[in-house]
Amino acid sequence: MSDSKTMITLISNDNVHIQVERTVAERSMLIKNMLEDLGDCAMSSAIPIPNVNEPVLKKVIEWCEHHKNDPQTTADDDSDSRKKTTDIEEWDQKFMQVDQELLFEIILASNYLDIKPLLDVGCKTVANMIKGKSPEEIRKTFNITNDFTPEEEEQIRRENEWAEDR
Amino acid sequence: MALDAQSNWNVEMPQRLKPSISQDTVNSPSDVSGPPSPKSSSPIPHHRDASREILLPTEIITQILSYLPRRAPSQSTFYSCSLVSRAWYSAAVTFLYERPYLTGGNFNSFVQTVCPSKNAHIRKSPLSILVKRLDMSALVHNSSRSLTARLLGRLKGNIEEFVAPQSSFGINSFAALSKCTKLHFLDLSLISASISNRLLFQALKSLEDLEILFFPRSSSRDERDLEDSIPYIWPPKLKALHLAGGVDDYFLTTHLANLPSCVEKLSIQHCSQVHGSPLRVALGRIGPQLQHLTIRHPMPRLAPGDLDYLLSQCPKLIALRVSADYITLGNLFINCDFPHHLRILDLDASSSYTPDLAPTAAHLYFQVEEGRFPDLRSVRVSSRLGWYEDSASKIDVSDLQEVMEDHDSEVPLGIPTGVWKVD
Repeated sequence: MSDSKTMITLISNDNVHIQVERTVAERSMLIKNMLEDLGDCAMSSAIPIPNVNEPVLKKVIEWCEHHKNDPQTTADDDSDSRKKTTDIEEWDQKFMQVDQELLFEIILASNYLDIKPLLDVGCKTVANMIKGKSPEEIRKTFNITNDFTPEEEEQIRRENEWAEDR
Repeated sequence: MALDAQSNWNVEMPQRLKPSISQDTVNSPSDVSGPPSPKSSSPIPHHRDASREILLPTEIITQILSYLPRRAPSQSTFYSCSLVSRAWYSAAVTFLYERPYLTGGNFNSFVQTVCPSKNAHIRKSPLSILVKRLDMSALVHNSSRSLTARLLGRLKGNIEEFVAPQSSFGINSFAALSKCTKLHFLDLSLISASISNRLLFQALKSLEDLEILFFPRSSSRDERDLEDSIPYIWPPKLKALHLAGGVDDYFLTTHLANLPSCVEKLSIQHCSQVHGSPLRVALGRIGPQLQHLTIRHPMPRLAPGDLDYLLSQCPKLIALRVSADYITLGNLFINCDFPHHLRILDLDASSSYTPDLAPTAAHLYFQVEEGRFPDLRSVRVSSRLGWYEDSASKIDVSDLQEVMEDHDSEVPLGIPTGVWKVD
C-alpha cells in the first residue's frame, strides 16, 4: 500500500481534473478496485469518472473527506442492523441538505462509484422525506413525472385501496 | 446526467477561474475558447434547470423504501409510492403486499384484490404471490371460516408467516394450511374454537420449514386410541414451540418428549391438564437442549415445588421465565450443576400467589456471590414476591444488583444489568 498522502487525479464527465488523496478516493470501491488493478501506473495517469459531473463529484469527495477514517463496511454487514433505522448522524444530515436534484445525483453517483455508506445516507434521507406523503406530494418533492395512463392509475388506486390511509 | 454534460460544463466554467486547491488545469477543447462572460461568474454551484427530472432506477427506489419501518403507519406511504410513477410502483408493491396490516376496515377490499374470484382458475391476482406474511390477528368477525380457507388457499405457495384469526379459522382451513409449505412461522394461539391435535399434526406434516409454532389455546382433547401411542411427527426444523391449551400429561410424555433436537425455545402456559411429574419426565428428555424456557401460570395442576429442579434439568438455559407459584424458597437456585450460565431470570407470580415460600433476593444473592451464576445479568421479579416489602430485602436486592454489575464489568455480555420489579 502506498503512502496515504498520495494524490490521484479524477476527471469528471465535464472534463474537470480534481486532485484527491488516495485514501479519500478509496472510499469508492469502484476507484479502489481500479487502483488495485492498475497498480502504480494509476498514480501518474488521471482516472475518468464518466458518469459524474464536477459539482456532484466534488460533493461526493467532500463526504469521503469527512468519512475517510470510518471503518470500511464489509459485505455481510449489508443486512439487518443498519436497515432498521432511518437515523442519520448530524454531519450527514447537514451534508444532505441540498436541493432535490443534487440529492438524487449524489445517490446515483454513490451507487455508480460504489460508496455504500453514502448511498445509505442518501436513501435514508429520501425515505425520511416521503414518510406520510401523498402520491402528488412525492412527485412534487422529487420532480417525478406521472407516467401512468389514467386507466392504469385508476386500477392501481382500486387494487391498493385497502392500504390507503383512512 | 451524461446527457447534460455540456450544460453543466457551461455552468461550471466560471468556477475554474477561482483559485482552488483541488482543481487542476482543464484540458478540453473548450479550454481555448476564451474566458467566460463575466456576468455568469456566480459562486452558486447549482443553478440548473429546475424542471430537470432525474430518474432513479427501481433498485435504488427499492433501497429507499427498505428504510421505511415495516410497521402499520408505513402502509399508507407504500400506497402513495405505488401511485407516483411506474418505476415507483414496481418498487412499492413488493413492500405493500409483503406484510399487509389487516383490520376490520380494510380486510374485504384486500380480499377483493388478492382473490377476486372464488374460482382460483378464472382470475389469479399477480399481487397475491407477493404476500409473505398473513396476519389476521386484528380480525374478529370480519372473516368467515370459508373465506379464511380460501385466502390461505390462494396464498399458500408463498406465505412464510401466518397468524390465524380468533373466530374464523376452522377445520376446513387445515387442507390449505398443510399446503403452505414455505411457512416458518405459524401462530394459532388466538383461535377460540377447539382444534384437534391429531388434525393439527396432520397439517404440520408437510410444513417442513416451520421454525416457530404457537399452539391453539383451546385445542380439544382427542379421544385416545391406538394410533396415539405413535409419537406425532414434529416439523423437522422447529426451533421455538409455544404450548398452550389442550395439552395433557399423555401429550407431554409421548409427544413432547419426542421434540426434534433443534428446538431451543419452549414455552408452556394455559395448560390446565398438566401435572408436575409428567412435565418433569418430558423436561428430563428435552431439557438439555433448551436455551429459553417459559413456564407460566395459569397451570392449575402444578403444585409448589414442582419446578424446583428446572435448572438442573436444563443445564444450557440462557433465559428462564417461571411463575414462582411452582417453586419453593431458594431451591431453584440450589438444585443444579454449577456454574450455570443462565443470563436472564424472570420470576412471575399469579394473582393468587402468597409469598410464604417465595424465593428471596437473599437466596439468589448468595448463589451469585459464590460465582455459581457467573453470567446472570438481568433479574425481573413480580412485586408479588415481596422483594421490595421491607428494608432488609431491599438491601438484598441492591447487593444482588451490585454483584451482577461486578460480574458484568469483568465479562460484559451486552445485556442490561440489574434487578427490576414488575407489577
